[in-house]
Amino acid sequence: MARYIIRRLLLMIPVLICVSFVVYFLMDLAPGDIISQVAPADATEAQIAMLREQLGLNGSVFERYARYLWNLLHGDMGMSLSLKRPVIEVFIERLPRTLMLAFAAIIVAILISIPLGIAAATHHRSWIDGASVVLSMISVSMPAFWLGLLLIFTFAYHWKIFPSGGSEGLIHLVLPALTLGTEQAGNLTRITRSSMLDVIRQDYLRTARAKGVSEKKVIRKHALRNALIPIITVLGSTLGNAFGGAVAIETVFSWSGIGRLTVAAINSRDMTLATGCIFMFTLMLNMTLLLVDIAYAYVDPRVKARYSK
Amino acid sequence: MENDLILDVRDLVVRFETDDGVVRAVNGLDLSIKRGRAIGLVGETGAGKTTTALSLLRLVPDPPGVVECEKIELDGKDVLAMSVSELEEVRGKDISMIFQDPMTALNPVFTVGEQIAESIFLHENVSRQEADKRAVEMLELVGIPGDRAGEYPHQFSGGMKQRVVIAIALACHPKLLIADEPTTALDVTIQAQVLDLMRRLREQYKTSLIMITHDLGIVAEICDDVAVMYGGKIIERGTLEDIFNHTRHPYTEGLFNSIPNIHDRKARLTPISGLMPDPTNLPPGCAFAPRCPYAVAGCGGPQEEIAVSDTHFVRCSRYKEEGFIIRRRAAETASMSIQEGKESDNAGGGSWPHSAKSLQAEGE
Repeated sequence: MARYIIRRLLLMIPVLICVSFVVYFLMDLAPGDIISQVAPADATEAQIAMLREQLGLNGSVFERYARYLWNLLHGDMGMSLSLKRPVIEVFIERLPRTLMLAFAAIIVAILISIPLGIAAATHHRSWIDGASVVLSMISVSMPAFWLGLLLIFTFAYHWKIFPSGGSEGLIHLVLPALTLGTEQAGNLTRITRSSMLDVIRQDYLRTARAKGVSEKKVIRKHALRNALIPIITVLGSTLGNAFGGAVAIETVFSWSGIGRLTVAAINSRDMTLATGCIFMFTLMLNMTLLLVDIAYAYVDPRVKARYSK
Repeated sequence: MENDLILDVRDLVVRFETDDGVVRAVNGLDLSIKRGRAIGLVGETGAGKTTTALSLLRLVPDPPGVVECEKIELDGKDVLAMSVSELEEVRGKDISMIFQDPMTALNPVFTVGEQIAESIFLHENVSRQEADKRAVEMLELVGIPGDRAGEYPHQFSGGMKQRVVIAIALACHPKLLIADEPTTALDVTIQAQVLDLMRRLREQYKTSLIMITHDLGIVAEICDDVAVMYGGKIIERGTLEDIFNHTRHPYTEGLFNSIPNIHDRKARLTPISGLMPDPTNLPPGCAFAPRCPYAVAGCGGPQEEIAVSDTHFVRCSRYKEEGFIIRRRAAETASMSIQEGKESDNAGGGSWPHSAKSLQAEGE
């Protein structure tokens, strides 16, 4: 198991290098650069050249990338060009808000989808099953920002229960978490339902019933544990989506997380900050996927046996 | 007399109402088992054997299954009148079941020890530790080292998994054990071991047994009584001796004829021609009539059970006719009996070293 984890961690290194390369070059290809925003309008050629030198923007893109990568390998993500602060510092400052939103959304998604998915599977072809299918279809196809606007209109503007935006306290978290959670719940409900439907027909549930296990326990203990693997897979990617894909929601609710930071960095052509943020996203996503794979081993002994080979 | 019966089933009907029509799996089945006896429930695939067994535990999936029955009495208790919680108490405690396919009957994410202990913990008033300890003892009883209790089903071979399934079924010493083709999924050497194990455990705990199988050899080896099922009905029942040596029903005769005769290796097999009737569209009267070499027009009428002797019953209306006799029976009367000599017994190929032995032991 430990060997498996170490191997997976080592495999992340080439992935991260590739991502940093692609992002850095894409940023370079984009028209415009930071100088036009930092330099005064009447700056002379010489002044601009000096500024370039200062910001480390001189030389070809390959030279610059090599320098960046070298520093990155030494744990230095550089200075943000627009904020004039270390990238890592800015990132870590914003990280808790994004994590808070992502985990709150996941909890909302789990609370909605696991019970609904189980009920749909155990009452296959009943009204509750039909309702779950329709609801998850709506949730998957409805754009998150639109749902966000609806929630703001209802709960912030009309009833004035929750604030419409900001990121100060837990009360500000409610609407964005609901929005992001509901968006993810659709997919998770569908997976829970189909995975449970698969397991519910298995012979070992009949064995459990024949032992005298109560129906509730048959479902919650014997069936759910077996149905968890696909659910965990989707949960992992949901968490990944919540880290990175929350940009629209962060914008709608003025929630100052990493998503908005990254978009701002790209808009201002802040190469180091944008590359740094995306690099960290990749790292977080990879770690989540690794955690998902480790979680498999705890759920299913057969997977664990495979890992230790 | 009543107390003598561990199980008494009257007029059991099970049908599955599916989109493609009503599947009539069991159609008016009567079955009674005396305490401590072993009955073999024999028939082809699709005869309704497993469905019968599941309805005794009220485990027929509903929907689409519909169970109608005049009476299912288990050890004097009416199973049909039981509440859900009463049923849960009876399952695994008074009546338990060994399932056909050990590969899928065990939950892959729990250790075998946990799966055995669960049954003990549910039914007996013991602590978890005590249940775990008894689970280890059960494992050893079925011939698996106790230190493997912490392993998962995927770490066991098919035969060992079946032993675990047997250990689960016997964990609370049930009064009635239903074994649904317990050896079908196993290879022959393991089959013999498992059968031997079941016989020993049955002697030890005085458990009554319903052995569901299509293998007449297993029946001869383990059972006291036999009930032959066809099209969801019992068409012939009696003691081992009645069925094996005094076969009456044409279908039972066909079953015996389909078995290779080890004393005459050149003899051709005579399989029963045709297929099992479609359970969504059973013929009226005798379900076997379309395949029966003795069928006459009257076979389409109602079929009542006809007593051949105190213990032997057959459901074939042709026995109402004076002098009706099937070929196997004719040969038997000619050569008198199976015991006269195994060599001369080639009455349609039904040669049973085991049955001959056990029948002699019974002193019949």
